[in-house]
Amino acid sequence: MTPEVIIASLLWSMVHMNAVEIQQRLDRLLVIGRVLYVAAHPDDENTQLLAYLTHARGARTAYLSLTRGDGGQNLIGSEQSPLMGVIRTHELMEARRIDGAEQLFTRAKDFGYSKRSDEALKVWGKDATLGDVVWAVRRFRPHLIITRFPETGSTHGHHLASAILAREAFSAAADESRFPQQLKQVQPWQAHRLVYNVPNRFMPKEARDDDLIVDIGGFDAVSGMSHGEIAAQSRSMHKSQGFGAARRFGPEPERFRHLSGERAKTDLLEGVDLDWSSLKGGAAVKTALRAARSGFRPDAPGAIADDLVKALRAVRDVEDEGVRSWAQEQLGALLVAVSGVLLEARSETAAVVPGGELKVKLLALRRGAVPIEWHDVQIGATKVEVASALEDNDPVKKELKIGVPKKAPFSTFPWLQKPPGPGRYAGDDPPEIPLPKPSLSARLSLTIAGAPLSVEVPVRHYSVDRVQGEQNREVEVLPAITVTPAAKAVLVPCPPTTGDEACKTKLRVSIRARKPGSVRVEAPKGYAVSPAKLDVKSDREIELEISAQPDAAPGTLRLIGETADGSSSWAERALKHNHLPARTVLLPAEVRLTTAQLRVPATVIGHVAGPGDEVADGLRRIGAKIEDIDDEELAHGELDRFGAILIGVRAFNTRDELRRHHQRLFDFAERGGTVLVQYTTKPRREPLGVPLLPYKMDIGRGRVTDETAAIELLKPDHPVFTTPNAIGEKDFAGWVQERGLYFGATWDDKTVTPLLSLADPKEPAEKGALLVADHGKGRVIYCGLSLFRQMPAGVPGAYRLITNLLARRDAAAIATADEPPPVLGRWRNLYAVVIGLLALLIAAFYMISRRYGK
Amino acid sequence: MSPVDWAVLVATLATIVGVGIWRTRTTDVGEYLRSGNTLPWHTIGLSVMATQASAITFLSVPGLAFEDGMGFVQFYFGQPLALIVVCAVFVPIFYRLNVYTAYEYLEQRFDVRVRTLGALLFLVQRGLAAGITIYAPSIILSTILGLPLYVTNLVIGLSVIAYTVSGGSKAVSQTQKHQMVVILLGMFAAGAFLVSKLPAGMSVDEAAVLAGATGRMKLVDTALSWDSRYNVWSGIAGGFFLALSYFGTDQSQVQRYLGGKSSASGRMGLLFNGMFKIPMQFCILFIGVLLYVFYVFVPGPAFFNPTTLAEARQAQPAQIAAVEKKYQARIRAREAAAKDYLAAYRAGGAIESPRAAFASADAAVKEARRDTKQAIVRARPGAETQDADFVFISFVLSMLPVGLVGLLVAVILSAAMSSIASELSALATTSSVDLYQRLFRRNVNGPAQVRATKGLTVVWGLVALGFASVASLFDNLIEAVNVLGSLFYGTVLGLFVVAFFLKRVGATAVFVAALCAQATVLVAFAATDLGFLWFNVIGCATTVVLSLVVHVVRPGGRGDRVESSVSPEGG
Repeated sequence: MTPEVIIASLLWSMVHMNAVEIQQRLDRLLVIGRVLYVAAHPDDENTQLLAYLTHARGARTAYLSLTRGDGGQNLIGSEQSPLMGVIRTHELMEARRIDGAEQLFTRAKDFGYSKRSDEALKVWGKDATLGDVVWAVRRFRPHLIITRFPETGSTHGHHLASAILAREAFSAAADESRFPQQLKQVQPWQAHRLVYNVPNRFMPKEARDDDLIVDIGGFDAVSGMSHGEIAAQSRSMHKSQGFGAARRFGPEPERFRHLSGERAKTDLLEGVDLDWSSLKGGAAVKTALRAARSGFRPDAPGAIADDLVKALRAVRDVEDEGVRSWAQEQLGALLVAVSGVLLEARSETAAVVPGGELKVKLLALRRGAVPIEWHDVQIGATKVEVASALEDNDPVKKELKIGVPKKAPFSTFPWLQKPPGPGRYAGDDPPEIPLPKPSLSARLSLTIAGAPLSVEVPVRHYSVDRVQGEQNREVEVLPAITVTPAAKAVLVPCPPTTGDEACKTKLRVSIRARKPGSVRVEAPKGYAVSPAKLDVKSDREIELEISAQPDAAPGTLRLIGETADGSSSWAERALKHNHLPARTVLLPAEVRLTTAQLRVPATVIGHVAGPGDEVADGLRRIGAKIEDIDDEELAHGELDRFGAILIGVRAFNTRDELRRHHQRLFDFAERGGTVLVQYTTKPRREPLGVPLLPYKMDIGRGRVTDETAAIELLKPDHPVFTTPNAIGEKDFAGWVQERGLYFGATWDDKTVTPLLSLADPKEPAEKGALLVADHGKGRVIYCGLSLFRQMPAGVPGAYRLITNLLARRDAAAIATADEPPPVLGRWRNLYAVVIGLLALLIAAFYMISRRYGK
Repeated sequence: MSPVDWAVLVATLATIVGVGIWRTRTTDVGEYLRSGNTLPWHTIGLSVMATQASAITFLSVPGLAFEDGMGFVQFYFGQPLALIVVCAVFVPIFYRLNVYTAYEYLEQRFDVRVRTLGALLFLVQRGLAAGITIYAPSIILSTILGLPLYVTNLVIGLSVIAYTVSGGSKAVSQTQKHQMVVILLGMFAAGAFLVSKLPAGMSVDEAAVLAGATGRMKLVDTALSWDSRYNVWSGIAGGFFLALSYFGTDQSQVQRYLGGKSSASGRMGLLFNGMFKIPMQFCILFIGVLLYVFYVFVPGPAFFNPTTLAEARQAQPAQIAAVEKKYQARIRAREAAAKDYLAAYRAGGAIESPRAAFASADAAVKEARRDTKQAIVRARPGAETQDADFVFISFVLSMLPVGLVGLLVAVILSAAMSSIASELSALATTSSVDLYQRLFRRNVNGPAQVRATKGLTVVWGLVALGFASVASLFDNLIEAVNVLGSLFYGTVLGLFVVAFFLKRVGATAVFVAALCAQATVLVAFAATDLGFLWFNVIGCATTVVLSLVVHVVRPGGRGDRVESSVSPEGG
């Protein structure tokens, strides 16, 4: 009997393919050559080259992205850090579905912009990351490795490091003495060659005579698209990066520079054994596959089922284990696809808790002439016999009630399960796997055209949206109770600076269990939080009041959800983006607490929100009064009710009305207001078209990525550094990721004053990070400092500084609302004195009445 | 009044007004409407005190103590507590929102409808009160000085308009500081004079003993009784609510403390009042007690309004002479009894019977005064027999030495002007900021806004003057204005209570509730005989309760901000 082939749930998208996809898969199955493309971030890859390799050459192609891009900026929402990494991982997966390549990762973390490769390698841990790259090479066994970046130059340090690591891995993967512990699971692998895919934007300066030039601009007749069109669709999936791309047609000469291995003279894959016949036992496979390919008819795909079964049988005799298992999976999936069978496992709920129950409705529907038998179905430990031969267009249904074990792991992303280091995710799982397996899947044993197969069908929840149509999502195993803080870090203003108002932050509690639970908080030393414990019956929001002792050390507030089934400490975030599958991300339920003495802005602050930053939320938490300014108000509203107007990060890039009415902001400043413009990017293609300051100032690409870079206050006596908070060096300590970016490059010296000078190691000083222009009675400020990263991280100096940046020029006159009294320290003491005096007077009057009365 | 007194009076007033005009000329909006946020806390403290203390305070409070004793001081027991609430809750919010008027806050918290409602209620009530604040001292001064009413009206009215228009809120505060200094000096001088004029060898303690025998030193009444006019409980509870609405929601006060250099100055100024209002009121009342003791030993008139008394004499000379004779006899009897009692007190022996004898002699004098009043009414039907307001001023004019008289009249005029100035400034600011600019011309700023507010100050000044000159047509005008005030105060306080303490209630709920509450108050006023002070409670409570009800029935009220009148030119 034929050995059973298991089609894992990760290949699920392959079992329902249309005729075009089936034909492309068949073509690719005929080629056994493999190509690995290596770069640093999601979006670094040359999607047109990937499309060329998969479509024109049929090569099995993978993109190894060293990081998940979690340090990137987010153009479509406010997600940052780990959530950003999850979004960009999914974007890569969607891109690969379009260009037909596979996706791999290492455990390196995108810790933000780095100017040098040695910094990048140091933060990542060079050996550990090289080990991950070597592992990927030994697993994928590429014949050709392509790098995207040079090893030296002026680009991102991560980019340079990716090229260095790829070159070292090229030889290390073949060396038995390197990373020998991997050899229990994988064999050493020597790729045929290593080339550098020289970016076109370096042309013609970087061109060399001996570069290999390949035209990758061909036409894929099966899909009816040029490679440049496929590439544009694939690249446009990087929506969080704003990388929507235009289609390209015509010739596309691409340049490759030889680095290592056998030099290619005319073709990238020259000298590589692409054909099955080069493998021992491969000839029979080739024969069967050729028969299937030539017999393929889009209107009757099932006709090639027998040829595929023949190929499946022949593959057993192929000696190369890696090719064998890959081909078995591909053939199995193709067999399911050509048979036209519909397989579904539906759940009525989208989530289940450990210890909970789930009803799963299974459906198998034969659509075509290929004979199919359904033997049984198994989910977890529950197995049900079916023993049914499917008839054409006659659905067979089966319902399973399954208990999810109490110890069942939650649906998490493996790399987020343990707190990451500064440059590297924790976790022992094979690091190259992009996404975890679905938590629940039904294993159906089938016999299709005589071949026994085991298909893992993920259990999914289906729903209908009136606009989008039918939607489905994986059923997730989630905690019975989650406690999600609105902010991952909170700055708590501490006395004597803020009067009597406590800092407030919100928690969202979600309960999936039927029984009520409670929420408990564990405050770090020096902080008081109320309520400390609260019973919760259903989903709700809780507002915490946090106060701090002066100079309490930073600490972690732990949020613990408790139900009858035990306690857990998870927060959840729902990912909802139209181009990505809907998912839940579980994160540790904790809030980092820091404290600072500062003065809360006294006036109402207008906020022109950008595409997403949490600066205004941070200000709200410390008690500032913030009102959002919408487009209508930008055009017509009365701005003078605000003391200052805060322009969100990149708002000038994304809000048309803001650009159109920017003059109203300058007028507002002229009348005495303060306008704070946060960093704005300089678009590559078309200029912004409006000034950011009322005087001459141009932004450039200056940035300081070392978050510890020394900062010099050019004018320490400037009100921005004195009112209301005294700003000094200590306010620039403890920053995260970077100092800032998109600094001002040139400005008019007479009207615009630079206030800060800072520099990355070994680089000239940047003076455009903070530019102030006094205008009329008010001022306009351009701030390239990345306060939008510091405030969500609770960096005290950032809060103290932004309070000053939002102060009015007449701030000395309108001092803050919560100024302490001139005597006795706190208002409460003064109130006590007044009440005491009142009591004393009444007592004295009473004595007088007694003394002189009757 | 002697020429010296006239000179002192004119010089004092002219200096204060002149300095006020000269030092605060401005065209800056912030300065004009809100004193430019420059005032230190002591200026604010004195300004708040001067606004609250009108001429009536200095005219009638000593008379009150003279007649009935010092129990009135209990009326102020709630004020320090109310001021603490204003400091802790109202002031920080007003400052943080950077508002010009209290009603501006109502828009930021609710919407423009609620703001307009609050501003209108204030304007109606304060506009009427401003006329009275001019009229009340004018009528007394014209009576005493023998000048026609319109002269005193015009002198007081026009001089206030002059410096309020020229210098705005800052001029008001600056002038009030000097006025308050004059007021305190003058009252101190009067007190010192009275002490010096006690019979030879008589101490202040003995004066208090004498007054105490007649119950005039009963400062605190701890009995919980609904009938007594003042007791410690009604003083704390009732005084608290009255002071809360006055200091928290009345623009004439709010404008005073919004002019502070910072919210701290505003708060300090208010707390300063919380500490000194009661002692000051005690001192003024004690002047009344000293006045009583003074008149025990120095025969005074049977009736203190000289004009009314003269008219009555003219009408029925014989009858009036008879009651006056009886009065003089009883005064002499009382003096003798007082001397006996004092001698017994000094000897340290039994004092019960001389004390009772003095008390009954005093009651007899009171009776004679009552008889005199009845005789006056018989002689001049319809005459006002309340002469308590005239006790102090007639003492000033008839007993004080030359020079001091002028100063004391200046005190009273200063007190009158300081209150009127605050009211005019507040009326103009509110009608300019909350109505004119907000509803009709949204984009006025700078000098144009100052011009508009100046114009409105003149308009309100003239309205108040006009009202003051016809005020004599209404008999019971003071009470009428108090009633009118009570009809609107409650609703306004309700608006602010909801704004500050019921954070979830939205604009529509509170607007509907306030309109219903106002209607309820007006219906209750028309249909029942309820004491007018109760309308404060009804208006406030109805607004609060109804807004909660509407909020629960129709949730989501906060989201329905109505953006009104976006100007077509879009600028």
